[in-house]
Amino acid sequence: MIKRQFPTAAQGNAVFLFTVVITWVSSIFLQPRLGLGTNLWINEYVWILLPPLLLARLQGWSVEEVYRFKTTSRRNKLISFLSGICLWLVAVYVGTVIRIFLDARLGSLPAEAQFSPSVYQTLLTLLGMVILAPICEEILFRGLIQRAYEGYGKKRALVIAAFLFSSYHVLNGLSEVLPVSILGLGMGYLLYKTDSIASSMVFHAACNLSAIFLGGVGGLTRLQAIPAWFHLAVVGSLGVTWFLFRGLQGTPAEERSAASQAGGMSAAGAITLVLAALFLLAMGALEAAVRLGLITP
Amino acid sequence: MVEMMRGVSMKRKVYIILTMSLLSGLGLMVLDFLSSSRTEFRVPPGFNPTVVELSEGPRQDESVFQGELAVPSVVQFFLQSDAEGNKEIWIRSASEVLGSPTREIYMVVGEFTGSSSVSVPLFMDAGRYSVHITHEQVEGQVLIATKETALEPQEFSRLLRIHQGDLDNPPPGYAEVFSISLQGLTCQDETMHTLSLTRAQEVGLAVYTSARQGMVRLDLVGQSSSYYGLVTEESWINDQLQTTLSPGKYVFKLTCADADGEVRVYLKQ
Repeated sequence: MIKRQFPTAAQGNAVFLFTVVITWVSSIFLQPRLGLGTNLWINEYVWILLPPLLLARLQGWSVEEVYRFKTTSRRNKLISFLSGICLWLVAVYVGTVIRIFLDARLGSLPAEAQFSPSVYQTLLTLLGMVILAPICEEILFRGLIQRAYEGYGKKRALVIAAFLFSSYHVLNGLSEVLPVSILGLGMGYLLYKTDSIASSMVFHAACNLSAIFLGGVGGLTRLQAIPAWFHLAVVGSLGVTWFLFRGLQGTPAEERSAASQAGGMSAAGAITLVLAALFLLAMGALEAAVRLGLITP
Repeated sequence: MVEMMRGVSMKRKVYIILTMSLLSGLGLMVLDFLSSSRTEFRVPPGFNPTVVELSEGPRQDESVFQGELAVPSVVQFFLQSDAEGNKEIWIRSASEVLGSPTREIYMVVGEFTGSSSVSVPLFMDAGRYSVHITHEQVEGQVLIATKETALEPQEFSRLLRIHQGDLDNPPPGYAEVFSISLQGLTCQDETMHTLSLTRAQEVGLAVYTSARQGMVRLDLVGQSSSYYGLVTEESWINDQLQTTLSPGKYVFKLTCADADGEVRVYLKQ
């Protein structure tokens, strides 16, 4: 009999807390000195990818089994890619509404000085978004954290992982949290249905590609008001996503045996989760204070 | 077992992608480091840079480049330098420079790198312009970056009218906040108007003067940010200055002596 080993919620929370804090601290020091692109690569490789891989190595886990490094059908990959684009549109819509609301109620964020990054930094940023982030962040959030919470039920785990994924993105701005939770739910659902992290990686890559071409080049992420066609596009995107998800092949793996179900969360797990929550709340409060003019950046 | 083999294959693919990405990324980082260690200039997007090497020898009013505007345009200048000492820059236009009493604009560039710079937009009629530099021989460079944007004919006409002294030509969506006649007025940092903001917001200012003699300067002074010399006797037009201001009070302060004409301030609604 092969004994399966899985990460615990406490382990997932500890890695999450570590990643959240170190990403923020490291970026404050390194981004102005090394550039946006180099900083992104350090964040993805060192602070996001390395902890789950190290944890698996120290615990003697099979990375393929625990983090679901399994192939999936081309059909599933295509569905993942297309649904990534569709749900990204929905996320941008929600993000734009929230951004407009925050600007009106709390005030605008100060405009950042616009400088052309070097061509190398631009390439690093683009490659980081399209290749690194989908792989590294999926291993952390879907591979480790969603797996860690499956002791509480697979569906509950995908929701919790999506919530932690979105709260991590408060470091990118308050208006990013809810939109990213939509994407996180999509990624988690794909992993749940196909039992393969490849699906969520492809979905994530599609989202980031959309952000570059539709958001950056197309200007969808810089809208100051929502045009009528965007409302229709979002409704259509939701419909297409629902239809695509129905076409996924595969059935979710069984729930864990009763022996490996989690009881309550350990004290250490609860403490690390609370600390992470407090830290992220503080980041959100900091942005609110800047918007209100209480703090000058 | 079959599924495990498939898992190994996917894991290997991921590791190969990560390894190859890391190698190419490290290469890009090295190239970026080598290119940026040479200079600390940060050129804004859309600007055409010209770099003048100062160590080649002193220059006295030497032309560094020329431009030709086919239509009236706003030419934005962005200047930086990693060399000590002052470098004198002259911008000479064959045609009218709106908001300036002369067709020569003079700027001084000290040591400005990173996020520090000298930047100024000039509204110029169609025609040639040239940029000249005077400096001592020193180690370092001067960056002169320009961005030309054609002005709509109606927009140019509006600015031309302001240039000719008709200040009642604000941009669309702007309303007058206050105006003051400079005739017979002598003052030093006198408060003309107070702007109170209850929350951080983006404001648009259009400030003009029709003073053609004497001395005049209008400043906007706040707790966290200030703008000095919004208009002066040598810079008559400050059109559509967009900025985000923190909550608080901002005071328009006027300094003038022996001036004529008026100063007028418009705010974007």
